[in-house]
Order: sequence, then structure tokens, then C-alpha cells
Amino acid sequence: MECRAGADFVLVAHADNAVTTISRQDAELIFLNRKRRWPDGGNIAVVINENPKIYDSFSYTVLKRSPRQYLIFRKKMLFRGQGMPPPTVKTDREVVDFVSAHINGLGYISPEAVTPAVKVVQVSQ
Amino acid sequence: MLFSHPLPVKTKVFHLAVLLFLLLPASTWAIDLGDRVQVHGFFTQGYLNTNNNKFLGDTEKGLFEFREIGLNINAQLTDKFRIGGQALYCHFSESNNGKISSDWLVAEYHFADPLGMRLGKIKMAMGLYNMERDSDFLRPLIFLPQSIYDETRRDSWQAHWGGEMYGNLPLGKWGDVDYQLFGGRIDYDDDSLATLAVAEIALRYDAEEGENLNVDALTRDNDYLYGGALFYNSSLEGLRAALTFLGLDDEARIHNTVITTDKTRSKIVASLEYSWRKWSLTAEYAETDRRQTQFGLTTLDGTSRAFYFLLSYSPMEELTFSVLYDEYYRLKNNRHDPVGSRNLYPWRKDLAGALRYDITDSWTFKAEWHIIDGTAFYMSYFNPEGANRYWQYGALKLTFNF
Repeated sequence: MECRAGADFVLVAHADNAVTTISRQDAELIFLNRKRRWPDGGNIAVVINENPKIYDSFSYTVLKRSPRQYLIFRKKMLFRGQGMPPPTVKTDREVVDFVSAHINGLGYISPEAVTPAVKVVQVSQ
Repeated sequence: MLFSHPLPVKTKVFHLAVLLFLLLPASTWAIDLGDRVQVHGFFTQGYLNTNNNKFLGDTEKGLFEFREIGLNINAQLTDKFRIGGQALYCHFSESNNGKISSDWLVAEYHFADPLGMRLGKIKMAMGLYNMERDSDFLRPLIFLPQSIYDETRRDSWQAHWGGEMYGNLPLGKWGDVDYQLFGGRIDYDDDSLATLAVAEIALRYDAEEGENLNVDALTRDNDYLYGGALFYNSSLEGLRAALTFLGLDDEARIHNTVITTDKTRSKIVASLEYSWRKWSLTAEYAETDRRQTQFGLTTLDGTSRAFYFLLSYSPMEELTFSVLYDEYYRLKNNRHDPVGSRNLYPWRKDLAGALRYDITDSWTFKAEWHIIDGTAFYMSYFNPEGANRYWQYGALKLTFNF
């Protein structure tokens, strides 16, 4: 599987990020807060996009769970004292703004929302 | 009630602060102070009713003193360093009456994905659900299966002061494993059920032996606690497994005199959870090897056995129906004899039906009914006139979280 322009969503990172591809399993670990570092050691700054057009697809495809299950997962992390959940936004535009403002940022948006301010990261199986 | 407290001023202030949060517009309930600071919390109100026995308090006429309020703050000070804490007000009948305590209080340093460290008051990994036992909206039932998550031991198993190593280890196509290794001590409150139960033993001994014990000076202390946990996240969708282990040593004293000892040589819990479409099955098995003494006499030395099955069906994501069968024996090799105990029925078999409805992402309603055979877990403390073998209880709970 590859997630790229034409699919429901694409992963996007900061335009200066050297990473071009990550595995589906790594993407899952990153958004579940189990993998927190880019290969260069930088702390991955995740943003969750609740845009209803792509949220279900992202959640089921990458995380293998429903959006509600993902919400409960984040609440467990928070209320157990094991970590802070990532920030949540409602639109692709906010994701682009977040990722372009964070050198270690990572999010997902609709393919048509990609701008030069961010870079598409391919997801391999 | 052996220890009672008027509602302290700081508790009233805490209630007021939480009420103010509830009155704020929904969009401001969860507070993000920039990217690096967050404030969240919850409020629960429950109702508990029993027949044929009292359970955790004076419940046979119905009990509304069944509420929790939590408020937490987290600050990510650097990419690797986080501090956070949660204050918890827990009013559960006679225990934890009207006091605010630290539920967890953590300084965390994340060296790398396979290795991080936490110091402070840390939630204890035990089975699948122990770490969320104070957050009702995170677990399937109001009362977790008592064979493993005994409510009267909540203070023992809830959290410890000390340290923890943790991390995640990828296993390639097999999935990944989260691990935790921890050690420290438990800090018992004077009005924890664990302490109150020992005080009751001391009072009874005093009445029988005329020792003139100063029970008000009784304290329960934990000498040490250690343990570890492995949580396996399978690449097979919906499958999760866990293996957790811990040991601890408690003593209760009046001044310098040891009244009771309670040493858990090992508590091992093996867990399996599998979700398929609208169905979910959870099973856990535990054995606890421990030795207990009272006034120098050994009252228990052996291994208990506990297991449960929880089958859940969700016709829609917001609504879940569950059926539970839960079984506990105080001594796995001597199931029906009350060795060293006044309890004539030292087991607990629980058949329960439960409903959970997530009204919104923030509001959750639960209801459940339990049919019990047996009187394990301090039932003689709640029923000093004698606990009945067959009894039932039901509970309702409404939770708000932000």
C-alpha cells in the first residue's frame, strides 16, 4: 500500500524534512506515541486532523482502529499519566499551518490540500 | 466509621474549580496553553445498591456517596522532558472520605523510543485495566472484575512512589511490545480500606484479649514494591496480550508494635483481549502468592487463583453490552475451607450484565448488575454481623471528562 496523491489522505511533513518514506507500521507507532523520534533524533511533532472527509480513512488504514477507539487510546495515555496527547485540529489548512511551523511536524491532509509549505511523505507497507 | 473528616476547605475549593470548568463553554473544557501545556479532568457520580450484604459501605438502602473528581496538568518542558500530575477527589462511602490526593505525579525523561524513565507517583501496571482504574470512562465496567481488581485493595494497587523504566520494542511483522519495570513504595492513607480493615482486626483483638491497644495510632506501611509488565500489540488486528508481575511487603503497626503483616511474594496476571467486528472478548488469569499474619499468627500462606471472561457486543460504537463471569478462590488448592479466616465462604463468583453508552465524546453512562456467590475481599468488615453467601449489587454511573 502507498498513501499518496489520489488516495483519501496523504502524510505531510515540514518541507525541509529529509524523510521521504515511512512504513505503515512506523506511521502507526508514531501516531500512537510509541515512536517519537525522526531518524536524525528530532522529536516528531504530531498533529491529529479530525477533518471528517479523511479522519475515518486515516484512522482505519494507518491505526487499525476507529476514530473513537483512537480517542480512547489518547485519553488512556493522558489519564494514566503516560504522556500528552498530540494537538487536534479540524481542517487541512490548520495541519498545513502546524507542520510548516514545526521543523519536526507530521500530519495528514486531503491530497488536494497539499501546498509547497509541506512535503508529502510516502507510506509503504 | 473509624476515621471521619469534615469536608476540608481545600476540597470545597477543588469542587468549585471543577464546577467552574463544567460551566465553561465546551470548546474551552480541555485547555491547551500553547503546544506544551494541557489541562484536563473528569467528574463522576454513581449510585450503588446491594441486597443481602453491604458492599464497600452502607449500601443496602442505596448509596450516592460514590463520586470522583480528577484534574490534571501536563507540561512538555523540552522535547524529552515532561512533568505532570493529577489531583483526585474520591468519595467512596467510608473510604477516602472527602480528601484530595495525588493520583499520579510524574517527571518523565524520554531518552529514546526503547527507553524512557519516570519518577514520582506512578500508576501501577497490573493486568489490562489497573492503570485506568481511577478513570471510569476508560474502562468497560463500573466495577472491574473484582477477582483481579479488588476494590478493597484499590489503595494497594493504584500507584506507587518510586521509579519506572519504560519503552517500546518493535517486533517487525509480529507487531510491537510496550514494557515497564518499576519499583518503589506505596503510601497508605489512614482512611484507605486496607488500613481500616486492619484497624477493625485490631479492635476485635483488643475486645477479645483486653490488650488496651491504641488503635487511633495504627499505621499501615509498605516496605517495598517492585514489578514489571509486557504489553504485546499484535499485528493481527484487534489482538492484545499482556503479562504483568509484582511483589510487595506491608506491615501495620501501633507505635513500634507490628500488628499485621501482608507479604505478596508474587502477583502474576496473564491477559488476552481480542476484538472482531462488533464483538470483543477479554480474559485474564491471576495467581497471588502471599503470606499474612495477625498478632504473630499466620492466618494465610498460599496462592489464590482468579480469572474472568468478559464478552462485549457493540451494535453501534457508542453502545456496548457486556456479560462477565468472574471467579476467585482465596486458596487455589483448598477452595472451600476458611483456613485462618472468619470468612466461611472464602471465594467470590460473579455473574454480571453491563451496559455502557457514550452519549458524546465527553459524557458516558454505565449500568450493571452483579449476582454473587461468596464473601471474599473484606466482606466481614462491611458486614460485622455476618456476611451472607449469596448476594447481589447494582450500580449506575454518569461520567464527564474533558
